[in-house]
Amino acid sequence: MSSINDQLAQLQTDSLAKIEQVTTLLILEDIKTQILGKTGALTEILKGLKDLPNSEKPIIGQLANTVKTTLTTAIDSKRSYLEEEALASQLAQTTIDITLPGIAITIGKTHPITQTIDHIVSLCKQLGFSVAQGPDIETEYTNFEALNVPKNHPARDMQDTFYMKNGNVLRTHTSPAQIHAMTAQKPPIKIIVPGKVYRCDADVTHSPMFHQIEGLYVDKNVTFAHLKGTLEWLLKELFGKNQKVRFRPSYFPFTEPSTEVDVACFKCNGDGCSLCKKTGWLEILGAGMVNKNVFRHVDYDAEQFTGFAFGLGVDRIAMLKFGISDIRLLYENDIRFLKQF
Amino acid sequence: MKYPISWLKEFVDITIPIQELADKLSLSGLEVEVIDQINPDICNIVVGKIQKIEKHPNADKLNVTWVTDGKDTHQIVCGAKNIFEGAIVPVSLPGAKLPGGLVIKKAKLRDVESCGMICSESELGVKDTSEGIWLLPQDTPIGVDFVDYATLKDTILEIKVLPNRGDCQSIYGLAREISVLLNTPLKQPNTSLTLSDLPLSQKITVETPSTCPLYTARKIQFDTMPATPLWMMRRLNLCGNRSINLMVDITNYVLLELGQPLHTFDAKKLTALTIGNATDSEKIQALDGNTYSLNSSMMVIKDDSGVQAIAGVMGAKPSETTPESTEIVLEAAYFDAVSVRKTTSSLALRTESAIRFEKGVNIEAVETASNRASHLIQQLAGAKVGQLTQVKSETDSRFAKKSIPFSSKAINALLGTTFSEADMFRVLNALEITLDDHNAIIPAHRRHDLQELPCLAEEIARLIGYDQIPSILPPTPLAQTKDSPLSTLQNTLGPIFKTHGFNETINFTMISPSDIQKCNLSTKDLQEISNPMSVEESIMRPSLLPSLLKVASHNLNRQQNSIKIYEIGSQWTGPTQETYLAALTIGQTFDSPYVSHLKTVTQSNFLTLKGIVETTLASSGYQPTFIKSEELYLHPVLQLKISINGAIIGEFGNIHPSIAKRYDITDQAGYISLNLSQLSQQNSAAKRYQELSKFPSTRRDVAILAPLTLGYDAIKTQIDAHLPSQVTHYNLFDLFESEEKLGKDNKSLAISFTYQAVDRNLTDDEVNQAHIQLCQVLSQTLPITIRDH
Repeated sequence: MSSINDQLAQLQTDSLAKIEQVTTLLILEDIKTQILGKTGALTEILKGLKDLPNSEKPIIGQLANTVKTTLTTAIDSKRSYLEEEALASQLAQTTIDITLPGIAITIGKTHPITQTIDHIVSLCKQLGFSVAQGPDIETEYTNFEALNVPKNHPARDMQDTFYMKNGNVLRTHTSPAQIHAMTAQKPPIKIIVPGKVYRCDADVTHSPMFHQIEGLYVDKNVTFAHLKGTLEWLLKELFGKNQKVRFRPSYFPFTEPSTEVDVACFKCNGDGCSLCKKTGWLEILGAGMVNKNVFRHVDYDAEQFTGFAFGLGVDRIAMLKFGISDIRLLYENDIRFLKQF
Repeated sequence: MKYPISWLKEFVDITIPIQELADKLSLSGLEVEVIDQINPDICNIVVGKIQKIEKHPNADKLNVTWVTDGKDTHQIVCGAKNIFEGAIVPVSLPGAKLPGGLVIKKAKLRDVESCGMICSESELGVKDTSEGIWLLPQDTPIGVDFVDYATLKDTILEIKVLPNRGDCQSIYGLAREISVLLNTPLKQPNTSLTLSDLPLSQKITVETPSTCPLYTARKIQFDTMPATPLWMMRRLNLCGNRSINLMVDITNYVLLELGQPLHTFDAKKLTALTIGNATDSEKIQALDGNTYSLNSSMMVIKDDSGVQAIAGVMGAKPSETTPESTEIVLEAAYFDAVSVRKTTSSLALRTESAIRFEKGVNIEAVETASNRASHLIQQLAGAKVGQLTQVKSETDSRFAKKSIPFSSKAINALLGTTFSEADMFRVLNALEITLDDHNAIIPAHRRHDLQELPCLAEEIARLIGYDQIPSILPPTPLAQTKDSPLSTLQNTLGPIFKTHGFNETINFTMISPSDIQKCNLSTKDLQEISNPMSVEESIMRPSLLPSLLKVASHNLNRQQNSIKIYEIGSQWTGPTQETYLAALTIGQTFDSPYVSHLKTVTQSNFLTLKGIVETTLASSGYQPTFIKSEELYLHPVLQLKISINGAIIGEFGNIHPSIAKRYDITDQAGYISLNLSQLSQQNSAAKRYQELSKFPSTRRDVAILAPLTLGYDAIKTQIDAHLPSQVTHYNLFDLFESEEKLGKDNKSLAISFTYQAVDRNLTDDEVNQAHIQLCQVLSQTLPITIRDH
């Protein structure tokens, strides 16, 4: 018994040493056959089992199984080690130049005007405004008279108008959308209207077609303080929490009281520079409490309801935000320009 | 309008820095656009008299002069030719600073000492150029500080006066506003007069009292018309006017000062006056030298010989006041704002007078202006001034007192403030608005502007300060209305096109007639602008195509070879405006592919274009079908119309090469046009979960040999008609043409079918049976051979 016992112990020691030294999968499989194969060393040793007394057979058999399990585990773990090593060395030989530029369809860009509109619209939606639209060609009535700009009123000079051959006008502001909305719907009303507007004027800061966003909120008990709160919040969201905002009295026929809203110049921080014409402020929008005459034109009860309206110049805001100095770039659509935003 | 500070100071004390004043004005509604410092550093200029002139010993062109300032005599070398002994001149003494920074020092000119400089107008910053020395009137006091005397140094405020503040279109008007802001008293202009018994020779008849409720005139006589004094000339200059003659200068001066336009006629050239409308095609030879043709809607002042003035706009040559005039008729009147506005607009004749009348002058101050001008004429020309003759329409509503019901509660409710009544009263009083038992009585100069309670609220708010109104976010209810389906669709499709690599463009909606021609677009019922800035931007586009072709052309000309652009914008069919999405693509899909197989991928390939249309619409929930299309601007074969639920919502294809060529585009260009207004009215499929099968799927392929002319849609129609119920989907996975292997008129298509059931394992037998049956039907109904299945 002792001899088989010893032989098994010896086999385990020798084999573990051999497995330890193996460096290739091929040799490992050879060794496995030599030790555990049908004609392998373990089988050879166990041939001596039949000569042992019956009482010893189970003990030796158990020992033989332990040796077999130990060696199989050792071979398996060696195998997975060698396989991983082989894979690693194969992967390491990959020769693709990973410093080459990537290949993909370049995702297109949204025009800076649209980005600005989307941003403002999403902010206004947080305040409960919904988006409405209006046509570009309006009648003189909706563009002017209903907005309290009578014929032959000097206020018409504030907006150089394009007339259509049939006497209609290209809207000079998005405000006529107020008239459409209020004609279609009774208060409360809370809308914004982004859109294209037109004026006969063209230079570095004026384009015959440009964009505005109109805002209108009509309900009971709407106040000038609400107008201030809304626009101050909007401009601070748009330009930064620390942005200084000021409200200046102004005149628009369709609002009373009226205001122009300035933000502190980004470039000079209010010290005065060429961008803000040395005033330290940039004019951003016009607003006011809806003039009672406008309510009368759309059959709203001017005693019961009040409201505020505002008009933002999108192009100007986009130019300020992105540092674009010439408005014409916005409509030239040079792809090198568009790709920057 | 330009407001010299020195002139404002005649009516109101200004003790705060000008910048602070400008800020106060801007923040109370009178936006100061420019603060113009005139000659800020100029100093040490006095009025001198040339006592003696001698030739310069060493220079032919120079003289040596001796000039007295009343105390001392200065030796000054001078090169000007127009000087003479006894001339009164401005002299800059050593230490003087001139505009432009020149500092005068004692110097030797060709060995002769010169202690100062005799100055020209340009050297003193009064004119751009001048010939010779500025010769001053002989009565100019010698020795006075000329900087003050001639207002060489001043600050000018340029203010954008908005249409509602006609009352501020004058020095006095702005001074009144400043007196309110600074809480200092307003001084009145001197209108003192000694009247003579000098009746007006002309009878006055007003035919149109509704547009001329007040017309006044008086006769003024003088021996000769003196020159305009320096101070007046200088003020006119600072405000941008030039001097003409004393009478005209005084009327212009009073117009600037009080905002009331005046006119003087030469009384000797004038017969009885009638104020009424012109007759059609009546002519006037106006003071600007032009002849205007009038019509019956224009108010004029006529005498027996014809039109002597366009009321409120401009006078006429025949009765012009000239330096030879010695007897004038001074007109001061109130002409209706709308009437003057119509006339000045239709004649395209904008005068200082007209821009004041059209915003409304103060009807109660017409007489004051006449008196002020008369006072100046009497002072400066020693004139005799006659009584005022006036024709007044007593019952005209413009003379009536105007009042607005006042309620401090309503004002606070509108503003969202808690201003005290005392604060409100203080502001109203300062503005000369008085309260009479809950009625605010509006002063005459604000009658045009202040109409209702919100106007009073604005006055109170602007003078207390908009910054004193709290900022409160309104209570936020849910959005009152839903976004329109169109705007939702725009927000869905834009991003899809971006992921396909398209850049958004925004183009003018106005295009040129030549674009209509170049793109073969219909010329029917085009929406034309009657006053375009240029013919290039004169028609509201009936298609987005020209806009995108122009952008493509612009970029190709700048070496941008891969063009993928889209626009969501309006186009017009007759007067109907609809929103379209148009996309245009030229060149490679990948921006800079360096791997050979990617270089050939292009989106302008028709089928790639079709893929973009299909995936874009599918991802928005639409199942498009395609119909043969015959758009003239597209390739005659490579184009299809897109139909959703039976409605045509657009087309796509390759742009016709001859049209592309007109925009210098020689590459193949793909184009997609989607009518979003239409599409947004179509229902998109609601999203529903389809159960995923737990059982394995089986794939069966079929290879079909078909004639080249057989369209895939014909095969697809048959497959769809006979599709076994177990097929979950099928797709074309190979298309192959080879003259050698298939013959020149044939093609091979390989289609893969996936069989699967939700409730069971499909057996091979079941699948085989269904598939063989499908193949048999296909080969019976189509001119094809099944090569393999």
